[in-house]
Amino acid sequence: MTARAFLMHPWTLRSSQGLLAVVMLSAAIPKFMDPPGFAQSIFAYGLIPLAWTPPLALLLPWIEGLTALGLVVGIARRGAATLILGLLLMFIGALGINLIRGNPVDCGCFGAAATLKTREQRLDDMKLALLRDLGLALLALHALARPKESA
Amino acid sequence: MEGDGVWPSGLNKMRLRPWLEVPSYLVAALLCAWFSNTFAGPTRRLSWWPKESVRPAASSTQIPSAASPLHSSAPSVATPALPLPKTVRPAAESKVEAPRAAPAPDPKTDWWTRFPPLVNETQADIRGDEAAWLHAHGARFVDARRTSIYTLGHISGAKNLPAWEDGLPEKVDQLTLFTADLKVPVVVYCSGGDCHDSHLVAQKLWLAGFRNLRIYVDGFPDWEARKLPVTQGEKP
Repeated sequence: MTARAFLMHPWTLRSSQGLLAVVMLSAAIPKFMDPPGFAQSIFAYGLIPLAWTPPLALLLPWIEGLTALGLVVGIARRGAATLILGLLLMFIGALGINLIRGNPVDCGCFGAAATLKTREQRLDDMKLALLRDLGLALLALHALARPKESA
Repeated sequence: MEGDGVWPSGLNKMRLRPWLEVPSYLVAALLCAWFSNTFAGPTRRLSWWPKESVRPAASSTQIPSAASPLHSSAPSVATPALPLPKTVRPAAESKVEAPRAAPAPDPKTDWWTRFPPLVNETQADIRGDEAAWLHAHGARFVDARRTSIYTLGHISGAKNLPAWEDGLPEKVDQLTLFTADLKVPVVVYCSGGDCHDSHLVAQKLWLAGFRNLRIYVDGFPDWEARKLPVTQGEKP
């Protein structure tokens, strides 16, 4: 079996979509349970104006959650994968800009952090979150690359 | 392949036009967000757009100056003062025991001699020693952290005005109503470090008319480390 055949095998596709959906859903649940905490995390990135923070904090978790469900159930799968890829690219950009700035932020990826961390710990966490998001973006691309006949 | 999703089901027979898929998700997310936020409890509700205080900024009273501090009368804090804090830390543990109520004004220790109202800036940073001094002299404290964190422990006497929870303008209005003179020092704090919430709340208070806003930059962790009076629960 070639690498391409392995990647396009129905079970490989289902596994990667399932993993992506589980991660997105587990990221969404704490956020839509606590929108003020997520708004606080978004604002700490220092990338968007204060007025845009609450609508974004209310919408993003539901986009994550609904697209994850869409991937699992198979409704509008391409749209779901496209949105997830867009979200992940946005998160990668936000983390990358703050890493370059040297601004240690609580990622907020899975809800607000429960414990206070040092600057170094936060910067390390941001690097790990960046790598994780890159991996997830590859999974989203994989879902988009699914051959038409199995879509 | 029998199904389109991870779990083959009848739902995957539903087809949308490709260009409609992304907008459909966005509309569904908007509806879900609106619905969940409308029916959320007060501590997890978020106002869609930041609202300003409905109460106009109070007209300023006499501007005190360092040369002629207002020593003639007691500091004009709210008449319906905050209830006396119930200090949970045992007295033996406290290195600095703050008085429970504002002492009689002393020309040497008057607020306005040390902390005059700010003229060219909306807020000024203070450190732990200054915060402890202001607390000991009855200044008003405002906690900008989340309600859930506030109830775990806060500076005794501090009122909770969470920066991100819904209802902040109403709470600011309430604080304005209960403060006779908006030039008395108000210390705003959050979790210290890179926490921005105290600055956000201070901005709201400034818009409501407060003119002597001090940001305790090291925040509650520093207060706890100094073993200063701490209260648990929802009451100040």
